[in-house]
Amino acid sequence: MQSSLFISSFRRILKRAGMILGGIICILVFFQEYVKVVQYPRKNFYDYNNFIGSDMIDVLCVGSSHIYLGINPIQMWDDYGIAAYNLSCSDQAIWFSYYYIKEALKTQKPQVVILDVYTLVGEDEYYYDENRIQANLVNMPLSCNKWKALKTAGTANKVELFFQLPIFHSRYSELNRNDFNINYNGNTDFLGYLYITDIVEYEDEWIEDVRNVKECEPVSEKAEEYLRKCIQLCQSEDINLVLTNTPWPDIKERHQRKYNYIQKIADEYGVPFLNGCLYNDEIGMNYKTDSMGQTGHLNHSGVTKYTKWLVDFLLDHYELNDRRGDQRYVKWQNESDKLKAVIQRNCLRQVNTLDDYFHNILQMENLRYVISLNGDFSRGGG
Amino acid sequence: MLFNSFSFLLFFPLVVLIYFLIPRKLKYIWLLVSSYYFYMSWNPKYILLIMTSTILTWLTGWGIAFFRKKGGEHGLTWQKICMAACCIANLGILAFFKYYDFLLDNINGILAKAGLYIIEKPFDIILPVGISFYTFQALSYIIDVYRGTVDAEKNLAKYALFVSFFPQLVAGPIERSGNLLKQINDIPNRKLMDYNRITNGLLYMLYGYFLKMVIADRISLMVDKVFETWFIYGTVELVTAAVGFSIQIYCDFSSYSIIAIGAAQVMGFELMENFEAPYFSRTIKEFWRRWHISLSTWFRDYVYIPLGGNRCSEGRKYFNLMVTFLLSGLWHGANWTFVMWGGIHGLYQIMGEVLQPVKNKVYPFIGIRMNSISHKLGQVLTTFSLSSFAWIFFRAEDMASAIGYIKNIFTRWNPWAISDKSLYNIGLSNYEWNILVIALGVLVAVDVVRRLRNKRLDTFLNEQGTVVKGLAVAFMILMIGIYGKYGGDFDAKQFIYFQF
Repeated sequence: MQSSLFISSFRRILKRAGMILGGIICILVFFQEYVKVVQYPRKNFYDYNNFIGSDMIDVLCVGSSHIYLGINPIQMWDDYGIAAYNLSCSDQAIWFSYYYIKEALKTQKPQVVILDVYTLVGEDEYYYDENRIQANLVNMPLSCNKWKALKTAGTANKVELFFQLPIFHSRYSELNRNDFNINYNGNTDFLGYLYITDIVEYEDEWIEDVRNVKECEPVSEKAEEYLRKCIQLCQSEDINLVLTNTPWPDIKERHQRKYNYIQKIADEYGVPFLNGCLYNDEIGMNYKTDSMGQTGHLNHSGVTKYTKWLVDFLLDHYELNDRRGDQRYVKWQNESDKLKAVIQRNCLRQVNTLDDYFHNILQMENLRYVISLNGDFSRGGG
Repeated sequence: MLFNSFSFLLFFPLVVLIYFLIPRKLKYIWLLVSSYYFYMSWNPKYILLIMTSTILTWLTGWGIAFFRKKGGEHGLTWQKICMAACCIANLGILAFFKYYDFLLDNINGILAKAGLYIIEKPFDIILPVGISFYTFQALSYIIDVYRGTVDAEKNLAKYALFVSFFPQLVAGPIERSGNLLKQINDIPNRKLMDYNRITNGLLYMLYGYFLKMVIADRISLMVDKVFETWFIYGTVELVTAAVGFSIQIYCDFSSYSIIAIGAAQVMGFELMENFEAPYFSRTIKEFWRRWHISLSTWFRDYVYIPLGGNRCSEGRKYFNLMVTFLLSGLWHGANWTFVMWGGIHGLYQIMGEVLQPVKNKVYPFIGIRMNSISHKLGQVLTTFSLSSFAWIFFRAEDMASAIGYIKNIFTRWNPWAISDKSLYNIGLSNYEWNILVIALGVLVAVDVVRRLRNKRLDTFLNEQGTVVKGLAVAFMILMIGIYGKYGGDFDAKQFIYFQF
């Protein structure tokens, strides 16, 4: 009697527990799918998580806008078959870069990590801004690294940013067809590169020559701590770290003093530091044509020159594989084809006469053209 | 720590889990520590205030018990002195923190009119959260001890928990010692793990979150906009916002009570219901039996009845009513708008009483059947309109704004605001209005069940079976998760009643 009572009570508890657990799982799965729909913008880690398979990246580029408007991984692929990827975000403080690298290393084993140190010359307070923290961390996948990054960021909205739903859920009224395309089909923003052709001319007298600055000025303690952590992390993982400073025309003497300090830290660990601002002549940088403004970002022309210079360095110092022809890297080729199409479209938009237009078309390969005319052509007129 | 904050979502399960796990004798201590932590998350310094009030009333309770035991005329006098001193001290703290600025402003107003120098404000006072609630709870205890309806509590920690029990600490319901303190003393004998009780409590909490996050915080976007710039709007927008505020304050305040009741229920405590479908009341008198019940009954038991209640002349009864409602208005806030709001409700009640004989004669004469559904609906609509009108004073920044608002309702007739859709551009988009209408449908349905069957949502859903209950839970979770106002850049709105 007692045992049957026990069994029935046990069954009841099991049934209830099962129902509650089932309900919780259903709700969690629903919200997980919902987050995929409402997540916006679909940048940095969103792209990375959906696009990149395990152990694919040979050169991982991490840093601020000076990465996505400085290095073109597609150019690396086209010219040398290097599988590179930009995992970057606007105003990425060095402590975010550290956790970006840590998180990426969970699935990747790159030969080289390129870490841009542009943001180290700024004030810490600038990077404590909630919008910057949100932009950098909200798309990071749920992980210990994300939680630690949020703690380091000093945000009051740790839980909201950690779980994403609290940040994105209110997008319900602005969703469109593209948002519901959650079955990721390999579309990225050109491997993390932002293609911009705008030109903002810099007059020579606006540009400060910092090559002769020899003094040092320390970066903030926190920035230094995380720079050292980045270096130590890569060294402990046996990864070649290259510190870079993408050329930018607005650099001043006070910034260079800090870059000199970074040079010292790099020397201390035996890590190369490619301060592009000191090599404008060698790179062939011309700020009358190679910058798109906005505090000195490079445009596509500038990026092409800088990437070439950077790749030359990489090839001189490391043995990087040529992945072209490898079926695993078909996504890299697809991205390359996409960018080519965009560049071609851009070329056609820039011409003013029909002759030039057809001339340009004839120069292009692998394209099929459809010409649409607008008017009444019933009598052969036009 | 707001109920709709992530901190509370961590705090509450942790408190409950530990509460269930620790030995029974330690449970009330744990709840007291948790409650103090909960309160200190707003402003740690103000814990001293609540402790002062607690120790004061607890000692006074003992004093009254001591003099009662002593007996005689002398003892009775000292009981009175103890009770009066304790009430004055508690009300003094409340008056200082809540009404000091108000008093100074009014004195300065008079001085300015008389052409005299105004008094400079010597310091800034921040209103301690929930002071009105726990002060009234402490007062009810001391008055009940004086009246002999409850015994003085011997255990200071248990009494402190009664005053500071975290679910209802900052916005009620205002509990009586006869209910809550008794349950605290009874913790060792209570059944802890009761599946139905716990799940019902959680379900009720969920409904509270639905009211707060889906309805109150959504409708407030429109209400705030209109009330802040009332002078640019016409009749349609102003009436919509007034009705909107009636809904907002109901959902906001009742949601807090519902979450408090649900949270307490999860831990095995039964708090009194604070709202029972008040907008389905057919008279203002009934409205006050269904709205903020814990405060209404407090004023009834400790102000209205001691003043003489209704066992006196008609004139005196109306005076008692008016005094009670004016005080109730003042309790809600240190502003003449609240006093006016209370006064209007007092007037409604008096008018209701005065006009009753007239209605009894006129209605049959003009052919209105008192028991017809149409008449009942008419009464409900009239009561809702009257309470919405009074809410204008409650919500307005000052008296001039309230009067201007009402004046514009009657002088700026603009029916085109509906046809040209400008109404739908005030704070809420069409999409938001659609969500609101669906959510209000749920609210009405729940209140209809409450009104007609006198059943709480969780009780009603239990009767419908697992599938319906599951669907209802899923619906509320999805509505809150997707359409609830929370997170990131959203500045979680303070529950309106915290300021009172």
